Amino acid sequence: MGVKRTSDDLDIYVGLVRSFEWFWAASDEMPGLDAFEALSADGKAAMMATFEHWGDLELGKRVSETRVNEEHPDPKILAAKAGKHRFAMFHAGDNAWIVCRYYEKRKQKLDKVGKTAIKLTIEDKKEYEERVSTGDYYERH
Amino acid sequence: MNATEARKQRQAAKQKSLSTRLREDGDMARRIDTYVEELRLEQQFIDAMQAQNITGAELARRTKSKPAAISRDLAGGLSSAKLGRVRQMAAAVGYDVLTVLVPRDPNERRKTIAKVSRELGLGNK
Repeated sequence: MGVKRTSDDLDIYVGLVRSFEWFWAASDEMPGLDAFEALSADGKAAMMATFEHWGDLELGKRVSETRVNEEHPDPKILAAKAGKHRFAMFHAGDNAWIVCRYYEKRKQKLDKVGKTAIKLTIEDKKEYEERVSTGDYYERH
Repeated sequence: MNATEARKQRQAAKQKSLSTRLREDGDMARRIDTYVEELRLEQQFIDAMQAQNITGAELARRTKSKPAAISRDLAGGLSSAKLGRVRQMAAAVGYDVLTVLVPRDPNERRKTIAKVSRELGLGNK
């Protein structure tokens, strides 16, 4: 069972070009934030650096695949990376990215844990879009 | 409400992002900055290569390195590379490397950056 969160916890980084926020489940949990909080101080710093760097990077500039990589083409799911740490995310329009699930890279190719994280992120995207369209994603108290 | 509208509302309410909260701890801010600096250096190489259509294989040929070494360098390896290696790679994409020691003391830091900017001709004319 994850920690119940509020909108105060949503924003990860608001960059010059892109912004990142945690996926906020209907249960009020933010699985990505739970995972982030469990990282070491160095892991947190490395991961935040990836968000900050990509968040400020001009559109059209290529970012290293070792920092941001496409994990699923349709729907497009990217992973923000730092060392062995991975956070899967999807695009929510207007350069906003919703960061959902954490997994660790253990092999060259995506393993079972990674595939499950991507699958859950695709489900999160569906849930997000449905709840935003009905006006009960951000509008909760 | 979409993500952008919701974010604007949070910003109006002065809610802090996780990055801002983490950076309130000086030690954590320094750690993040160290990683960001590494990423910026890496990005400068990627940008230079992209602008000149230089592939990793071509950069390897120009620096007489193995392609795997270039992949390592551009995937976090530069953080532990010797300055000579960074200079060699920069030269291979037509760049020079400027090295500046910047004091941590805020006042001294400002003075140093202003002095270096003047020397580089970056100041207001």
